[in-house]
Amino acid sequence: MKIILLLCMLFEGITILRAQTILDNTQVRFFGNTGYYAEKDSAHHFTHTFDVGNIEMLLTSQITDRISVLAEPVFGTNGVSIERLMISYFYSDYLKVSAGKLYSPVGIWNTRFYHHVKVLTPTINQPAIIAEPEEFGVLDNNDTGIQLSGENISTLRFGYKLLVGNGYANSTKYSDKTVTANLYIEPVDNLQFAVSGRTDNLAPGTVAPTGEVLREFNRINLFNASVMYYGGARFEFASEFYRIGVSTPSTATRQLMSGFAYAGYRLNKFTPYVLYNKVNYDQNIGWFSVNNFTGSTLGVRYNVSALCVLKLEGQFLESDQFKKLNRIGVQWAIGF
Amino acid sequence: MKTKYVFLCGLIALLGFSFMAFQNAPAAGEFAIVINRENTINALTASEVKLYYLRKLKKRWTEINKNIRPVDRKAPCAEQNAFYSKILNMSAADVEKYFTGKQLQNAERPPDKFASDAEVINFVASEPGAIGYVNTRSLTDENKAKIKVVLQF
Repeated sequence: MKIILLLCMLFEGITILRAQTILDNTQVRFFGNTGYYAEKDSAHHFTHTFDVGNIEMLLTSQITDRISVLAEPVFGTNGVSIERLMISYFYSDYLKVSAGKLYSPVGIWNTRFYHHVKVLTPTINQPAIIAEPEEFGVLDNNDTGIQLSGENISTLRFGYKLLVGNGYANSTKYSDKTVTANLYIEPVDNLQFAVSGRTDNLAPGTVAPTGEVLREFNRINLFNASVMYYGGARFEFASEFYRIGVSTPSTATRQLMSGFAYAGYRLNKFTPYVLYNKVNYDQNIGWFSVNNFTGSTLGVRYNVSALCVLKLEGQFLESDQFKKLNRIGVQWAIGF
Repeated sequence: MKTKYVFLCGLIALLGFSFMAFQNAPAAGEFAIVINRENTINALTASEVKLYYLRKLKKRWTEINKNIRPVDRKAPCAEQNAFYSKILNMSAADVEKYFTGKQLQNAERPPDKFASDAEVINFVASEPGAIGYVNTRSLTDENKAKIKVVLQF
């Protein structure tokens, strides 16, 4: 009896120790934002709204020396969604295997500035091509699959990411898996160059974001080239180019071209910045709903502290959807 | 006579300012970068410390095959100020943002933070992958036996 009691106490002790070790190795952070927007469209309609963004929870844990977990649930007005859920095995700097729901490794901005973590994002909204759907976004930023990645290879600090995932056809079993590849170098501290490519083969029956059901195979090929200098003492800069081609057996390739350029200059706690972005579609592109978009933004960011930022922006937007829109936005973003 | 008086006052003022500046400037080698004794590295330059601490060059110490574990102080202090400004060339806000970004990007573990040099030394002594900074005053013979100093600044 005494031995059983002793064993129980020992087991309980081990369990408590394990739980303590897991807690020591787990970090939790929260990010949130709130804002105010006043806008006037081409019909001279004036609206102004207070906005509360999502609350994002970041949970990371180093399970063992080589295995880590990242979970990113987002709490919004529409409920809870899983932005990312990633389990990684770190073999060496040159090879890491990650599985789960990840950010598509396309471009630099998309993988560096996180969509709901506005406190680390230079602007109020992401550039249109990689923005969330409610911000006139075009691309699917997440993918569920398995990714191989490596970094810090050679003195050029070469890195790669190769993701095989479900892609756009998340629910169609007849579609091929999507392959996304991203290659980059960082020859000088904070200066990155990257090229990315992605190919999707969508089977008939797949439902497009427009609601249309595909009648024949669609192939979507994406090419991206990016450059970014960010994190230095004063000047920051980013520019990206996207070309997306959609082809079917019966039609010629139709294209979507997009690009954006961002520049900012840090003056102590203030960073004035500009962002210009454009999305151009060929007519009847199929998968995407055509909405040509041009946006110019003039803003200033004030870093109250490391994880507390105020942004003020004047946005001048033009799109097929709303013709012209002038908007003033204020955003207060925090992390804790 | 008046010129001599002005010159003398100027000289005294200059000496005074120089003395004050000397008083405020930390003496060379006032702080030290420390690693675990198991680590086979014996010396690092300031730029190498920055790359290892920020895990920009690699994520693991290849010599001992362990994750790099940067160690920081919980609250602002002279040791932290000197380390951020002289070795990292970054402000405290930039360091915080950098590690938060890395945590978001790759689930990278943020630095372990401690309240005093003694706690830093104990952690570095027990964790093979740790790299931290302390005041050289804390490096008693007993503490020196527990850890390895790879740079003084």
